[in-house]
Amino acid sequence: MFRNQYDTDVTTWSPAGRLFQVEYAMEAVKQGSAAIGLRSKTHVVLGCVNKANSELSSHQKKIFKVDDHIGVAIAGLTADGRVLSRYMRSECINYSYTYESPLPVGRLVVQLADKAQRSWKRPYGVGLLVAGLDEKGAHLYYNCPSGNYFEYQAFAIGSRSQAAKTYLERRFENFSESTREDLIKDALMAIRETLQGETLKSSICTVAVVGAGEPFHILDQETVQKLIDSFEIAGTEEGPAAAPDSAAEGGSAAEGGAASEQGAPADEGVAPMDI
Amino acid sequence: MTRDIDCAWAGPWTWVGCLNKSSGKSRQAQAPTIVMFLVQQDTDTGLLFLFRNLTEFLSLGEHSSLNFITQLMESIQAKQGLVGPNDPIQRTQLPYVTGTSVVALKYKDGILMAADMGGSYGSTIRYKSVERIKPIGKHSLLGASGEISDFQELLRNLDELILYDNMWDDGNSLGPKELHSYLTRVMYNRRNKFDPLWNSLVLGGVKNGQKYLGMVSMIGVNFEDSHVATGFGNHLARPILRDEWHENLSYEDGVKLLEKCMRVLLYRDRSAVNKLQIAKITEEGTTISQPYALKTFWGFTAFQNPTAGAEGSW
Repeated sequence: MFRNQYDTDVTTWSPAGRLFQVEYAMEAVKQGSAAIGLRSKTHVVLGCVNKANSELSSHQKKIFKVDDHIGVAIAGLTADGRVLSRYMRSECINYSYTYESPLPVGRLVVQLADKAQRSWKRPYGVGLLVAGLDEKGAHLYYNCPSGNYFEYQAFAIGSRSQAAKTYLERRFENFSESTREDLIKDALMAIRETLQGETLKSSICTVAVVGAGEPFHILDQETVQKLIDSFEIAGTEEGPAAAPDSAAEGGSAAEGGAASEQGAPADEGVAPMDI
Repeated sequence: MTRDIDCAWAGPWTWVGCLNKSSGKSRQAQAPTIVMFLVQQDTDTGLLFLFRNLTEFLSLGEHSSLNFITQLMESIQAKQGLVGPNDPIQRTQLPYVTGTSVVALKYKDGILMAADMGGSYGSTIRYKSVERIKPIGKHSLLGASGEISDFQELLRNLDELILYDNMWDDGNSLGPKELHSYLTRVMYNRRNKFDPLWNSLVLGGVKNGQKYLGMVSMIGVNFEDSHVATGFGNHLARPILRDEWHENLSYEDGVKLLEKCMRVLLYRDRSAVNKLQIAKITEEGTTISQPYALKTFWGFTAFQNPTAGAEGSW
């Protein structure tokens, strides 16, 4: 995208009918590290890649709990994301206080989208994947800086998200009926896609779940590492250490799935992953 | 010469002042002189009496004019509803047209609610076709006792709320629990401003198979129960319900139980009228019955010859 004379102000249209500032804001989302979301009928899983600036620093927080039944993953300007999640939390808590009931996700995303339409402010440079439950079931929405929002079965945003999207496109038809464990496994696989060959470790990714009867919570590092090991999807640079845990329904499926798709089996003689 | 100064009080703006220049004799025999004065809080100036009617005289006896004014000022201030210029701001109200009890209970398929159709103006039963139970949205019924105009104001408010809820058009809707919580907030916040909505509300409904029945008072006290009542219903109907209510009442049994409560209220509550509606709400929807009257029995022997023991009385 080239600089032009119509892009200084968010209130200026270009002759082609575009608002360049908004489009530039959407570019900011593509610069952020990847975040993915997927849902079944009863659960929604959010995941993101969390790279720290250096080994000395802590990770950027990209997944926020908004209420017991809603959570959000962000990509882009995390500061804007923090401000918006604070707004969402405040909306949820006010609704809860007046009606003693959880705010339906669909209404929250509309309020969020409307917030983007302020002509005197720069657009928020963050894309939000909003995951939540209401009386109609599980929902996953994507709110973009333009003020548009869409509902998705599965989606990925941020840098190298195309790889994750390709993986999700292949599998999304089954997600509706997936179990919670399968959904988490798919999320981890999708995250791995965006890593382009790096090992998937719990120290560089975050996973969060919300479901019927299960309030939104971020899985802690050990749980995630155990899941990675049990699904045997760590990657190819180093095979998963020791024997995998009792994998439940994930284990054999992971082997079968991993072997057919990526050729990264748990045993010796690993083949290089083709991305 | 004694001067009897009479004044009368029969409600706001019905002051009567009479200055009687003659003494002693029975007031009815004198032709009263009506005098108008100007009312001020400081007692330097005189008093204003608005002439409405000449009933219920109250004598202040012999006083000098200053004392008379002072005493009258105090009696003015003691009357509710009138506020002088130096008083702190307050918006406490009095209820004017009021409805009496509402009784409601949970039964097998939903909620049953009953209320009579009377609107009393003090001790007069002024209006006899007041609908005190209304459906709200798809899932709830609201019944109110207390000031009818405040109930109508609430209905307007809820109308707007339900409208906005419908405008989302997203498959979600406000259920009875949400409305109950909302009404509690409204009532409590009004009470905090010393400007209450003078009602006791009963909110019942069914959503997704869940039955809900709750009450909110005018000061914001709220709770949920299997059977609730307002006003006199608390004292007369709830003991009956505590004894005879049980889970999974059939519709007929529920109606019978409610009618039993309403009959007791009819006999014993002076502001009850014998014209009531029973409303039912289930998962399918709301029905409010046509108004009807309860059968009453007055043929007790004690009523047959009431003056038997005291001739000349009535």
